Amino acid sequence: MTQNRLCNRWFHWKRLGRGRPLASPHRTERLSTLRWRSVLRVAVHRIVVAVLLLQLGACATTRVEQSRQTDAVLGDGEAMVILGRATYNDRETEESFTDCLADILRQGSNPIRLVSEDQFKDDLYPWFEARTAPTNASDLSRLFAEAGVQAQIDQSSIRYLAWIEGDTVTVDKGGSMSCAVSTFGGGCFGMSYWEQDASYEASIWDLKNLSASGQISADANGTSYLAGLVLPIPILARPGNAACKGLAAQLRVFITGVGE
Amino acid sequence: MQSMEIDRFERRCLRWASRVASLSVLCVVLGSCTHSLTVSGRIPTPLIEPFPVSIGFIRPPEFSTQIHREKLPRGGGDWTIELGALQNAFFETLIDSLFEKVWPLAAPACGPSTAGLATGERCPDGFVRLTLLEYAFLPPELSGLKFFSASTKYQLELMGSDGTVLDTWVVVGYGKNEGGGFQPTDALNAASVEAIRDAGARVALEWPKQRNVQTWLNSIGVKNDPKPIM
Repeated sequence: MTQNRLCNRWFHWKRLGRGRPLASPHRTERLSTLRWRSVLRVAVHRIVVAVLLLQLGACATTRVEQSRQTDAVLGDGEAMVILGRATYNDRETEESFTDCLADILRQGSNPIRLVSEDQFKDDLYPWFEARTAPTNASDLSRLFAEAGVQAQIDQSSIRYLAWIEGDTVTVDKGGSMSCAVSTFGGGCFGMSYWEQDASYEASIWDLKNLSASGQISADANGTSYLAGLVLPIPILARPGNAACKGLAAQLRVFITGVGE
Repeated sequence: MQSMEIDRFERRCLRWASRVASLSVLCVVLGSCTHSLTVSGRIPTPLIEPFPVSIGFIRPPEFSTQIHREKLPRGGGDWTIELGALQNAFFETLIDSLFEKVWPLAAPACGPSTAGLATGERCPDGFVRLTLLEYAFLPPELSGLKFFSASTKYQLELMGSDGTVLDTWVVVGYGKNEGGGFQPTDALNAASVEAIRDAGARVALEWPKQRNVQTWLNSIGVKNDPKPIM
């Protein structure tokens, strides 16, 4: 089991009004501009302090667990396919999550050869559609007895299949923020937050031995904030992204035997 | 005098600017209420063993040009969805993979004058008529869910070599896709393609297991061993 705390350490900041010439040479207007500048400077300082304080909270805590049934690892030229488990209810693994996993596993010093989900589903149509896909590794032997299935898997050199199940849900939210626009300008004031919980599990099937190889689960949660200090400032925890990184790192070790 | 002319010029500019702005807003509003989509996607070749049977494949003339038009309630907008071309190409590939010999025909008939049947060819063992009964979709604004969903309802009619109806089977395909607020047509396209694929998968795997279809296959000497689906 591994635990990790991932924080978003960056934010963009654009300086306002610096170096802009005054619109009028009149002294009164210059004074008013200077007064506005000082108000703006104070506001900017307060925003920076608020952002820095909020940055401390915008972290996602990830917990990764693994259970392994076999010691086999990916051989030379062998590939893996990552499939999001589709369901007919309102919750389903987001396509962006499986894309994130694939992007991470394809890169790095120890890249894994991946067959894309679309390509795999097309090559094996109609056996891996939402309705017809095997739900258990014990169904593999029956599926591989179908004409052409074994040959297609062999041709693509696919050794492992990782089924990804889970989603990211908002478990709590609160606060309030209001924005207004008028002829003199506009702005947002207030503060809102939402806590998200990302829970995913990868079930890894060995297509050579037609058996289940193991499971990896990744849970991450974090609270995001939206602070309205004239400008709306989002401070995002992104637990889905943290779960993706945690799961990808563990999946790489599981499949290849070595880490990044 | 000169300043008055400048004032008038500025006012005219302002008026034109406001007209252009209003027109832009109007265009954006109108554009967001009318959606047009030609369903497109990949057409997979099914990985199935064809039955050693020849059939005449019949589709109504509008099958390949089917357009679904719908005005959604509660400001959902006007939708025009062309799904004929994709569904036609998709089921052509599917039926070609399901049977060894397929003749695209206009009606369940066989004779020297039958259009689509090659001269000297023996009559097909049966006829299959495929019709789209219904296409429906639901955007997230109406369903309250975070995705677009689409469904397709097809009717598959099996006829013997003499044209008598042996079986009528209705199949519903379902698809969904997370709706990106700014790309509703992309999400609906993906959901519609999934719905057609789902119906196709059921036709390929479930339809041959229907009792009447098996009886027909047995009657023409084809041994069909129905295996359970995963």
